[in-house]
Amino acid sequence: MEAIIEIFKAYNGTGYYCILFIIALIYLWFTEEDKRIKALLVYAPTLIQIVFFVPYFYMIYDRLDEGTYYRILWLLPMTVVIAYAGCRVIGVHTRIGLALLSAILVMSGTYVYKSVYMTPAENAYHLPQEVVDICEMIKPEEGKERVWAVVPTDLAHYIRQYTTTIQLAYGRDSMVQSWKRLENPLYDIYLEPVIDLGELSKYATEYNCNYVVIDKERILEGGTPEEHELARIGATTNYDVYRNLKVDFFDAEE
Amino acid sequence: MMILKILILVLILILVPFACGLVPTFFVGRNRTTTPVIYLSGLVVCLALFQLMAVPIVIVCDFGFGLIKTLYTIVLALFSIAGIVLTVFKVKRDGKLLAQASFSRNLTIEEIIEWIVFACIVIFQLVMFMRMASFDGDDAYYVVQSLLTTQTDTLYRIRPYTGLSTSIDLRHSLAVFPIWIAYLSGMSDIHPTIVAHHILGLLLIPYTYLIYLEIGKNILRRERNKLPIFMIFVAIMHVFGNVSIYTNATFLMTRTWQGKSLLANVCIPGVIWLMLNIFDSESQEGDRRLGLWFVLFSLNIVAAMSSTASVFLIAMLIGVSGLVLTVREKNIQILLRLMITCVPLVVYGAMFLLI
Repeated sequence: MEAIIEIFKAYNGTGYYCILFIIALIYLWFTEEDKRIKALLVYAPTLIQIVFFVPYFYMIYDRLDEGTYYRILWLLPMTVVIAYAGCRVIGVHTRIGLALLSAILVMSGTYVYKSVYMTPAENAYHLPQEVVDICEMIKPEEGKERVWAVVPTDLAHYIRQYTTTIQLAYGRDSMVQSWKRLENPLYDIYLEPVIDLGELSKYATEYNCNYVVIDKERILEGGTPEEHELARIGATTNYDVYRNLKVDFFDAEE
Repeated sequence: MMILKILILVLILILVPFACGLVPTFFVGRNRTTTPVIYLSGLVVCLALFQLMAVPIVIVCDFGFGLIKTLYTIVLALFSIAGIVLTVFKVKRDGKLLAQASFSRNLTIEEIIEWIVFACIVIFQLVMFMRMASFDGDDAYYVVQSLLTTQTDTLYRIRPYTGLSTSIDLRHSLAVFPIWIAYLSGMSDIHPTIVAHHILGLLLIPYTYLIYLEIGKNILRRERNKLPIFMIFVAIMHVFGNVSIYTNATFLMTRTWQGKSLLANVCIPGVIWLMLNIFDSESQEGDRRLGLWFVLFSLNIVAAMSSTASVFLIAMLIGVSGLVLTVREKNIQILLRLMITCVPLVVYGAMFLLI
C-alpha cells in the first residue's frame, strides 16, 4: 500500500490539480443530471481511482508492466472533469468565472516550459549542437562501413539520434541503474572524476572503438593521449575528439 | 525541395486521413458527422491500418521497411479512394454535403474573443514545441529505432543504444509507432529525428485538442456558449500540467512523439469521446452510430500500436466505463458490444504475454 501511495504522490506532484479534480468530481456527483455523463465522467473515474489503491491489483499490474503503475492515473479524465465542472460552476458569470478559474489553474499548476528537461532548441534535430558537430567529425563517409566510438555519458543518449552509422561501445542499457544493466568497463571509466588514459585506451581498443571523445574538464592521468596512440582530430566547446590509431576501420583494406 | 517535403507530409497527415475518415463516417448519422469528426476518425483508421499491416512484416521480415512503405502507401490510397467514392455516392443520394458546419450558430463577440484566446494558447504551445528541446532518455530507444529503420531498412533487429545486431525485439516490435514515424520520414525524406522532435507535435497537439473539442461539444450541448471557456481551461491545464514528470499533460508537451504520449493524449481521451457519442441518449432521425463503433475498434488497435502494455489500460477503461453504463442503463448489450471492440486488445495482449 505504501508503494501505491508513493506512486500517487509522485504522480500528483504539488497535489493542487488532484485536489481540484476531487472537488470537481464531488461537485458533479451531486449536480450532474445527465446519466451518461455522470457514468463516464464521475462513476467510472471514481471506480478506477478505487481500483488503483487495491494492493492486489498493483501486484498483478506490476508483474505485467513493471514500473508503469502511474499510468493507471492517466485513465482519470482529470482535465475534462475539472474543465467541465469549472464551466458548470461559473454559471452565467462567464467573464469573471473564466478569469478567476484560469488564475486558479495557473497558480495551482507548474509551467511546463520551466522544466529542467526543457532547453532552447539549438537545431531542427533538437539535439545539442555539440553532438551534431562531433557526429559530423567522426561519422563514416557515404558508402563506408560504420564506425565505433566511445563518448562521455552525457552524450551517449544523443549520438545515435543523429546518425546510426556511429555505433557506441556502451549505451543507455549500461547506464540506467534500475534496469538489469549491462556491465561495461568503459562506462565505469567515464563515471570516474579522473580518467586513466591507459585504461581508457585499453578498453577502447578492446571494444574496437575508432574514436574516443573526452570531456575537456575531466582530469586525465596515466600519460598523454599521444602516448596511447590517441590522435586529437578536433574539438568542440566542451569535448576533445580523438582518433584511436590502434583500431583500423572495418573497410580499411578496401 | 523543402516545399515538396512539406506538401508530402500535409498529404499523408492531413488530406489522406481526411479521405480515409470518410469511410467510417459514411456509417454515422449526418448530425454527428462534422469536419473534425471525419479527420479524427481518419487518422485513427490510418494508424490502425499501419499497425495491422506492419506488425506481421516486422515479425517475418528482417529487412521489411521498403515493403511496409510500398504496401502501406497502396492501402492508404485505396482507402482514400473508397472514402471519396462513398462520399460522392452519399452526396448524390442525399443531395447534401456530408459534414454539417461545426459552428452552426452565430457566435457572440465574447465567444469570438474566447476562441481567439484559446487559439493563442495553442499557437504558443506549437511555437514552443518547435523552439524548445526536451530531453528524454527514452528517445535513445524510440527515436533511434525510427532512424535505424530508415537508415538500415531493418526492423527491430539492431540494438538502438549501441548498434549491435540482435535477434528481433518482439516485445517492442508489437507497438510500431516508431516505424510509422520512419514511414513519414521515408516518404518525405526528412530526418526521423526532425520529424519526431520538430514536426510531429504540430499534428498531435492540435489533434489532442480536437478530441477535447468534440468531448466539450458533447457534454456542453446545452451550454454551447461555454465551449471556448472549456477549451481554454483544457489548454491552460496542459501548459501548467507539469506537476510531475508522469502526467499526461507533461507527456503531451515534452514527449509528444513517443507512443506513450499517443496513448495518454489520443487513445484515452479518444475512448471517452467515442463512448460519450456512442451512448448518447439524444437521438435524431437517421442517427446511425455504426461508424463510431468501427472507430472505437480501430482506436483499440492504435492503442496497441502506441505501447503494447497499454492494451491493459485501454481494456480497463472500456471495461469499467462499460460496466458502469451497463448497470446504469440495465442493458447487458452495452458491455457485450464493447467487448467486441476489445478484440484487438485481447489479441495484442495475448501476444505480449506469450512473448
